[in-house]
Amino acid sequence: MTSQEPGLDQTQVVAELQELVDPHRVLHSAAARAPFESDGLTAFRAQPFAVVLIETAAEIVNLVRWCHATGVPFLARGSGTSLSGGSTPIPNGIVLALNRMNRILAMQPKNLLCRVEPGVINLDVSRAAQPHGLYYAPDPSSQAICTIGGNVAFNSGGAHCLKYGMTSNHVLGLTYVTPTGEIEHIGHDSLEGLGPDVPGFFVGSEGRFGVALELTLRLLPLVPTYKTVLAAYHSTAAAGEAVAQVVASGMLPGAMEIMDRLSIQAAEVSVKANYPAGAEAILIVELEGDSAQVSAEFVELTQLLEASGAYEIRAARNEAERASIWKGRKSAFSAVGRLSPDYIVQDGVVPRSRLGEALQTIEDLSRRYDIRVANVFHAGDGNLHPLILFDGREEGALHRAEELAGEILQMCIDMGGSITGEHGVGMEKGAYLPLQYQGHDLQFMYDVSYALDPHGVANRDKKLRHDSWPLAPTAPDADGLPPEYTHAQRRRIEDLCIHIRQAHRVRVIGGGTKSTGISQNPAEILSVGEFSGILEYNPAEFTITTWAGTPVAEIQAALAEQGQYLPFCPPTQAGSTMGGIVSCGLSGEGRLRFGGMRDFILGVRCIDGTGDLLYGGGRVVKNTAGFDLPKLMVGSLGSLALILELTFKVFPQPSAHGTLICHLQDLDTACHQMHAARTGPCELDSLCLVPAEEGYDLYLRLAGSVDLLPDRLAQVAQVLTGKCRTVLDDAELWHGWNQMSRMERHRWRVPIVFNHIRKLETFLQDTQWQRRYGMGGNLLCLDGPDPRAMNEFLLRFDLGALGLQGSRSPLVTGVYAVPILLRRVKRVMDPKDKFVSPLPYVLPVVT
Amino acid sequence: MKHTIDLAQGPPALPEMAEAISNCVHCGFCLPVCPTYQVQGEEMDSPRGRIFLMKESLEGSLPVAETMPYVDNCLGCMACVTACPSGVEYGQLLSPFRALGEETNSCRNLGQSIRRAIALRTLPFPRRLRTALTVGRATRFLHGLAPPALKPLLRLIPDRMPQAWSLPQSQSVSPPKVAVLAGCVQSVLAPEVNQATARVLHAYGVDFTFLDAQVCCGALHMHAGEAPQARVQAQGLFDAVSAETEVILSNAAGCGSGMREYALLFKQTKLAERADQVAGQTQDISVFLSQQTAPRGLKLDPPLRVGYHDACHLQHAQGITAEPRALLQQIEGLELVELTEAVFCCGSAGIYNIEHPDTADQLGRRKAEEAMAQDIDLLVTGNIGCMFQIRTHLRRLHSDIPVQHTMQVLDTALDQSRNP
Repeated sequence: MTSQEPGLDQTQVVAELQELVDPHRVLHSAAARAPFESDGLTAFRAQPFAVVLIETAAEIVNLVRWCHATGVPFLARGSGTSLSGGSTPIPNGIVLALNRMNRILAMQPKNLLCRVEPGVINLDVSRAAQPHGLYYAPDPSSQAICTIGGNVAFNSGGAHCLKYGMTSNHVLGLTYVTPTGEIEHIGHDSLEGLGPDVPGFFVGSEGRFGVALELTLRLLPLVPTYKTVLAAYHSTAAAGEAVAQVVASGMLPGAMEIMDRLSIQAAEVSVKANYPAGAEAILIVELEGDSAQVSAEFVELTQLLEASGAYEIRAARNEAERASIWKGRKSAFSAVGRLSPDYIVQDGVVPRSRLGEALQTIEDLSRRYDIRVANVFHAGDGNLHPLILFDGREEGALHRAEELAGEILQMCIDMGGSITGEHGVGMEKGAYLPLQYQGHDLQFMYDVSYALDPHGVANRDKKLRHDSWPLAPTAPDADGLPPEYTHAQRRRIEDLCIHIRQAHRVRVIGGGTKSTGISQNPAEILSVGEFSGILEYNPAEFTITTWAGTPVAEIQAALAEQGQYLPFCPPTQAGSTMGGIVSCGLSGEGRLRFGGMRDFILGVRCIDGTGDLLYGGGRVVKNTAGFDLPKLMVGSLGSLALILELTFKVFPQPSAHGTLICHLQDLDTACHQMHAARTGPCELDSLCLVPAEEGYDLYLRLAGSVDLLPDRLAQVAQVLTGKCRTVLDDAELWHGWNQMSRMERHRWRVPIVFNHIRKLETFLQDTQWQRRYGMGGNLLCLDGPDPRAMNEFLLRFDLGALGLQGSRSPLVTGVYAVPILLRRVKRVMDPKDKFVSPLPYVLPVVT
Repeated sequence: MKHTIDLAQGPPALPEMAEAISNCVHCGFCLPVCPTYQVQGEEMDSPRGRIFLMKESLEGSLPVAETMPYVDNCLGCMACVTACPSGVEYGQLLSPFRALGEETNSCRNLGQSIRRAIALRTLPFPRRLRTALTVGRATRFLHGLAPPALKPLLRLIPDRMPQAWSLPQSQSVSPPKVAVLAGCVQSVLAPEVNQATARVLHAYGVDFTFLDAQVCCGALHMHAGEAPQARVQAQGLFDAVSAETEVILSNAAGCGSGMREYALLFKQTKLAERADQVAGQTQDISVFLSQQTAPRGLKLDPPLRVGYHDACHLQHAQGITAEPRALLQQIEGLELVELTEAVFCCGSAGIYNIEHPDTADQLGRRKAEEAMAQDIDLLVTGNIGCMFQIRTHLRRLHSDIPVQHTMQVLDTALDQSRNP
């Protein structure tokens, strides 16, 4: 990849910028530019030619186009709080300062979403949502100042990722300008999408895919009750062991955080959080949910922590005490500034069960280098934040600190983890990305980046460094396949690669329950059905890695044996495989509570259209190192690659479920009640509205401890006006909706939002089509209409749909266009369009 | 943050300045609480941006004159100090740096320079101020003809000139241990605050005396970077404080916080020890009173919804938030209401509203709107500057919410307890 040399000097750049935007907002004096030289990681500094204080989306677009035309690189900057140097300016480039783009454009409480500009502060979203009983879940420690645009660029995490996932789980869609200047919208307002999860791929791209102009964020109902528990330990290992026990108990706390002695000390001086004195480590566990459930879990948690050797256990008695606990934790990074003039924050991830080992290694390294290391970490995610303390004024100190940091990153990779869980690669870890991804996997990232940004103007050198290009050739025998692959499997994989290289067109099938591709097209059929079985499953890690050809039922059974499950409850039929449900992007009714398939997929190994093996993501629950290839596989309908291996995050299965069926007379009441239930006293596991005889039935499902279910269901019933009945043994009921076998007619899945229901139902009630408004009003499932009638219906309401019918090829119909971003990725992954697919790609001519 | 400042040469406060820079980790936690960053949305006008700029200047890579406009633009509200997890003593960097700027001829525009010069040469001198205001009021019909640069200053002239009040002296035989600073601006513009203070102290049974009415603590100069003049003023105060004095009470947040910074102002001078001593004796009146036994039966009838505005020089510079609230809450019939943006400055900030009227106006308006949104009967604060700034902006928005000093409310409550 070559980048155009700018060829413009500072005077020219400033003069041209002043033509494009209000000259007062083009900062070019040395003093005005200087404060933009660094972000939250001051080890890196660079001088931009100019800083433009952006006020409108149109200005962003104009400037990006200008950069593309002139080759002057740009950095889009929010509040400049990146801890990986991700918002360090590009030397001789320009900075687009977006912090004034801080308007909340729309709040749609009924649809549980809002639209914001990229410069909106994370916490301001929750503040604006609060009067509606809603909040924005991702909570990075810098949430009082970091911007949504920055969160999206780096797929920021925070303390509550364990239960709620990262930023990407909460970004439904966005409008952005590509590095070449096109404007496009990707994603949907609905929780469910159509086609590959392109927004999921965009999130975490560190500014390389363009600049977001407007973002659609998912909002959640405010948590009714928190219980924040602080436990003090005499050793970090004991605190780590307690985390393992909490996980094993089947509880799913909102957050589990550990701080060691040094970081406690810093936080204590800083915010006087009043942490227990003399602790070697403290563990913060936050339970959340409705009060009955939380109280029950609190009893269990306290017993467990007592048994784990905690010498002091405290629970926050009120919101002020809770805030104080969190303030200490969230100030820890900056507070460490009191212990040392400089530090590097690391962000590696290790499998949770190896936390103790990882901490020991860090301690050994600290001793060997004679450099102090403080530890704060998201223990529930295995996401470490070693703070390496040094004094930059000492000769060679930074270098030694970086060396130590490098060793920690290598350790994370050796343990099967990631170099970054939530801070991103930025400038800081650019040299380490090739440790985690090599050969074709890394080349894929460079190729995608080049396809989107041929002039290399968008946040150049972040994530992917120019100086590590071209890549060192990978040794021929290192295919990067994991040791658990058998010899026969390796040979078969080689075969598949050769087939794909030689074939003109290919279609991939798994269990053959939902064939992909358009049947009219002649294509060679490649089956992954023989790649079946579990490759790695460690319940303590909440992860499972399987062959793509593994029947979903087999996975579900294996998980159930360990008291775990796939929380998005994929709809299946006999023989459905993991690869098949990923390809179709099928989430079931469980999606409402914790997220859909896109939120649980972690890693994928596939063979792309060039016949090369390609790996993306990882096997740990948090990883923002590369581009998020696994997300693109969700809903790709076989169009991008042949999927071989998949890694999923899994959750402890609730010990019991119960359902409330509420009968309502008319549509208006039904919609009203449905909304009331979503923001009601209990966190719903599933919620759907089904037309019934004389009105509508609302199905509300709760999960949790069996003793508490009847009371909690009664509590929910209280906020409803209709006649309710309770079904405690409800497995069959929901299972029925998740079955797709023996479909004689098409079953259509239409992503919608809550506000659509009334107008859609007004139309549909006169038809004979069977329907269900599932996932809390995010998915309309329709049985009946033939493709022509369906298309007509969809166009009328400006919607798109996925149609499934038995083993026939799925159909994408209605309103759907393949985004530019996806088309460009397709050109990288499958340049000769070998994978036959029902997605309407319009490929640019390849010369 | 790493720096390469040569500690061997520079002002006496350089080690403290370098320490503040070194402690800053550039995390940005100060941005959401910084009023100028909120209003202007520019990194240069944020605490972390200014620290970066001051560092560059102290290292010698940026001329002081180029960084001064941004440093000048700071209100000095110290909200960043409260928010800072890394413990950066921003004030220890700001005031000495401003002094440095004054020495090296900073680059204010003409209007700012004139207003600043007039303000610093009249405000802290009660006689001059009284004369200036009298002349200003008498020539009001000519104000329309004044150059635009002077308008922000003229707007501050009150409609009604308060009656001068001669400060009472202690009647007791032995010299009182408690001295009260009347405040230069306050004695002219709001003598009622001192009157109320005197009555409240009497009611609390405190034997006290006022310091000479002409005494100015020098805080206004100090915070504006005019260190030499600040020292001259402060020396006057040192002389006025008798040897028997144990506690010096301030009922103006700006004065109290300035006096508590004397140590740095007089560092490496002959008066360093005396400065230390006076700084240690200084206390805000709310802190002092909260440690005394309150008279019984304090009440307001009819009951009032009262909003409390935290003066920056109390809450941020001195960390005083609980004491004034405790004083107010002991009054029966007073419902204390918290403002939603309590952390933000009202824009008064010493002579800031004279030097930077635009930013100050935006902040003043924001604070007035905040008070109006709370539907309160009375707004209370502990600083003369805030009182005038918020009152001005409330009136501009046609609100008649009164603005009073904490002592005035206590005084009213005392009065009502005595005359039910």
